[in-house]
Amino acid sequence: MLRPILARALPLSLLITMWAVESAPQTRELKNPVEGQQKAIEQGEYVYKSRCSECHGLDARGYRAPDLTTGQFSNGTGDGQLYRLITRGLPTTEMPGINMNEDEVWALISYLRTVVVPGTNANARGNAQTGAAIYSGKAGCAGCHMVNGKGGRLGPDLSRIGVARSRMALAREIRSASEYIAQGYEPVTVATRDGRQIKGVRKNEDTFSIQIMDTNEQLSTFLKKDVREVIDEKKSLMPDYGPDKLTEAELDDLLTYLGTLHGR
Amino acid sequence: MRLRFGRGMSIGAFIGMFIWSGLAVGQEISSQQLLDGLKNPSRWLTYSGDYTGQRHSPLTQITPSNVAQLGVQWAFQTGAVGKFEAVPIVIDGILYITTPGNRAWAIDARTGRRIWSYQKELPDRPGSQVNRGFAVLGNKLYMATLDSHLVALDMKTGNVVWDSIIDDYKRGYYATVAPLIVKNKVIVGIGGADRGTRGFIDAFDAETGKRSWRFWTVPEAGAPGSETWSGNSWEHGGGSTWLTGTYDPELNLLYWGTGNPGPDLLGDVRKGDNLYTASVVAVDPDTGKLRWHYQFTPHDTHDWDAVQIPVLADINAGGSRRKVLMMANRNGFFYTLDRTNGKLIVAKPFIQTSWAKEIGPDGRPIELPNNTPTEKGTVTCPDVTGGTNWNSPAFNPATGLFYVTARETCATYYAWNQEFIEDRNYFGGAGRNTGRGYGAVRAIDPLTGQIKWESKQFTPSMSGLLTTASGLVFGGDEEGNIVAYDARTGKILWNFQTGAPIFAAPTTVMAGTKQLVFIGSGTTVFAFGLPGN
Repeated sequence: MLRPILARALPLSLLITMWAVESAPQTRELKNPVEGQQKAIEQGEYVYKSRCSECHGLDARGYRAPDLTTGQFSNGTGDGQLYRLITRGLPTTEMPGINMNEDEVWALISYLRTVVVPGTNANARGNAQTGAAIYSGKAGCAGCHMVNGKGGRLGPDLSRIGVARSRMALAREIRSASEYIAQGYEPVTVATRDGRQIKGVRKNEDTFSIQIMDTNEQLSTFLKKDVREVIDEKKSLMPDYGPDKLTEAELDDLLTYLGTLHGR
Repeated sequence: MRLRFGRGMSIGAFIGMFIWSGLAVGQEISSQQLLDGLKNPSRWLTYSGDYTGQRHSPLTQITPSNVAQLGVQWAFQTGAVGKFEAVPIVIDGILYITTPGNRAWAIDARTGRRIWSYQKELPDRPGSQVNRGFAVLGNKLYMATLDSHLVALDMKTGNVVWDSIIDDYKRGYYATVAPLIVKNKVIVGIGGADRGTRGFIDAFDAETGKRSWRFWTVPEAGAPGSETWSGNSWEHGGGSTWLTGTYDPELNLLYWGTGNPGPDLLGDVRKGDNLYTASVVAVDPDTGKLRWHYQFTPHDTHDWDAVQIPVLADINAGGSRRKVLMMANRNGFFYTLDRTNGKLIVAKPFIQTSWAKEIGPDGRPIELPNNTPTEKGTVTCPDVTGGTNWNSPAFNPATGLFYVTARETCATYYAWNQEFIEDRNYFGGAGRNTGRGYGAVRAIDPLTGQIKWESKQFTPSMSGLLTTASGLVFGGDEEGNIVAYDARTGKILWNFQTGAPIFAAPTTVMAGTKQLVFIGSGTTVFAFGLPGN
C-alpha cells in the first residue's frame, strides 16, 4: 500500500513546496505595495532611524556602512532584492538580517527611495588601477589585510569591503585608524607572570582566558592565571595614514580601488 | 511483533507506569507545599524557588571546599534556538522546563532523559521568542505563551488541560513570564510596552482557567493615578509585567515590578510621572486591588523597566526586625523598602549612574540635568538594558548579602517622534551603547547599599544568581561560563564553559542522593554534580 499512497502524496507535496517557495517574499520579484505613500514613508523613516541609522548614519550617507543616498545596493536595486537584503542580511559583512514585520520592511524601502540623491558617485574621483598599486605598494595594506585569499591576516579581510563600508567611513578609518576598531581586531598587550609581553589583536576574552593573534600572525591562548595584566591598547595596530603618507589624490585612488572589492 | 496495550491504556500511560517504578513521577503539589518553599530538598517549585525570591537553597552537599570537583552529569539538547532564560520546576526527580518558542519538556533529573515534550502552536510573527518557565499547582503546569495565552498542562503527560486567552496578541501583547501560583490562582504578567500596549497583572483560576481579576498597571482616565498621564497617553502607556513577582503570605501581599512607560524614550507625549510604570506594586492577591506602590523612575525616558525580582526578607535594621523588599533596579540603584507600606529605607547606586544624584528621603530621585533623550542624542549611564535586567538576584540570610549581576554601561539616547501603529514598535527613539562596558557580580549590604565585594566580568552579562546555605553563589556570564563564587568573599572557586552566553539562573535540588545544579545555556540544559554519591 505504501507505494500508491506515496505516488499520490508526492506530487501534492511537491506542489506545496513549490507554492511555498513561490510565495516566499524573499524569493520572488516583488513590488513594494506602499511605494511612494506618505504614511509608509513616515513609518519607514522611523524604522530606518531605529534599526539602520547606527551603521548607515542618521542622514543615510553611511556612517560606517554604505552610503544609501547613492541608490546603489550590493544585490540590486529592485524591491524584491532590497527586501531580501534587509531581511536576510549580507554574509561576510556586518549587515544582519533584520527581524521585522513585512509592512515595516516595505515602509523602510519606501523611505529608502526618498533618500537617494541623483548623481552621487564619489568613486568618479579616483582611479582604481592606481589605487590597487598604492594598496599593495606604497601604503603596504596587503601586509595585514587579505583580498581574495592573498595578503596578511592581522587586519580584517577586505575582499568585500566595497559593499561593507561607505567611502566616507573608509577614508576616516584610513586617516585615523584608532577611531573605530572592529571586534576581533582590538589591540592588546598580554603581560605574562613570567615577564613576557606579547602584542596582538584580541580574538576573544573572558574571565578565565584570552585568545589573540600576535603580530607574527600566531594564534595564542593565555590562561588568566598565567597573566599579570591584559593591557587594552588605545592605538590600533594599523597606522594612521595622514596626508604625509597618502595625499588626497592617492587616498581617492585607494578608496576607488577598495570600492571595487565586492567579493568573488 | 507488535506490543499490544490493553483497551483504554495509552502508550503515554504505559511509559508513565514504567517510569513510576524508578521515580516518584508526578507528585501533586499543594498550596501548602508552595508555602513551604525549598524545605523539601528535591523540589524547586517556583521561578525563584520560593515566595521570597531569595533564590537561596538550603542544600549543603556542594560546598566551597569541594565545588572545584563539580562536573557535568548530563546535558539535554533542546534544539530550541533563542535566548534560554527559563528556570526549571523540579519535583522529585523530574525537571519541567520551557524554552524559546514555547516548547517544553519533562526530563529525568538523574539521567537527562526525556519523558515528554510539548510545543505550543504559535502564529508566525517576529518578536520575542523567550519563555521563562512553568508554575505548578496540583497536577498541572502553567505556561504563559508568546501569543498571549495561558496554558495548563497535565504534569504526567504534557497534554493540554486548558488554554485561556490572556489578551489579544494582535494588539501587541505577548507573554514570556513564568506564572506565580498564589493559593488557587495563577498570576501572570504581560509584555508589549515597547509596542504601546497597556500593562496589567492577571489572575486566573488554577482549576478552570477563568480570569479572577485584572490589575491595570496604567490606570484609565479618572482612576487614581491617571492624573500622572497627559491627555490620552495612558492608552498606550506601557507598564509591562514580564518577570515573576513575589508573595508575602503573612501580609497577604503580592509584589510585582512594572515596566517602562510607552513610548519608551519619547517622554514629551506622556507628561507626568506615568504611574504605575517603572514601579513595584503591592497587590491583594485575592482581589487584585492595589495596596501601595513605589515608583523607582518617575517619568522614565530610558526604558528602565522595574520588573526585576522584588526580593523579600526579614532583617535587623536599626535595632528592630524589618520586613523589607529589596530590588536592584535597571536604573542602576539598589533599593531596600519597607514592604508593609512601600516606604524607602535605603537607596544607593550599585553601578556608575549619571542620571540621578541620589534618591531623596521622600523616595524620589534627585535627577541630574541633560539626560533626557533628544533628536541628536544625549549620553546617559546605564544603557537601555540597564544596570541589571531580567537576571535574577539572590539573597543569602547567612551572609546578609544581596547578590546581583551588574552591568557597567553607557549609551547615547535618541528620541524621535513616532506615530502609534497597533502591534508595531512604539519605542520613540533608540539607545546606542558608547562602548563595550563590563560586568560584575556584586554583593550588596541591603542595610547600607554598600558593595561588599565584586567579581568582574569581561562584558556586561545577564545571568541570574543562586546562593546556597553552604556559602556559595552560582552565576554565569556573557562568555558562557557558569561560575561558583565564595558567598563571603567573591573568590571564584569553579567554572565551566557551556559554549553560549548564559541568560538563565542556576537552580539546585537533590536528585536521589546527589545535589545537582542546573543551568540552561544556548539550546542545552546542563546538570552538574560532584563525583560519586
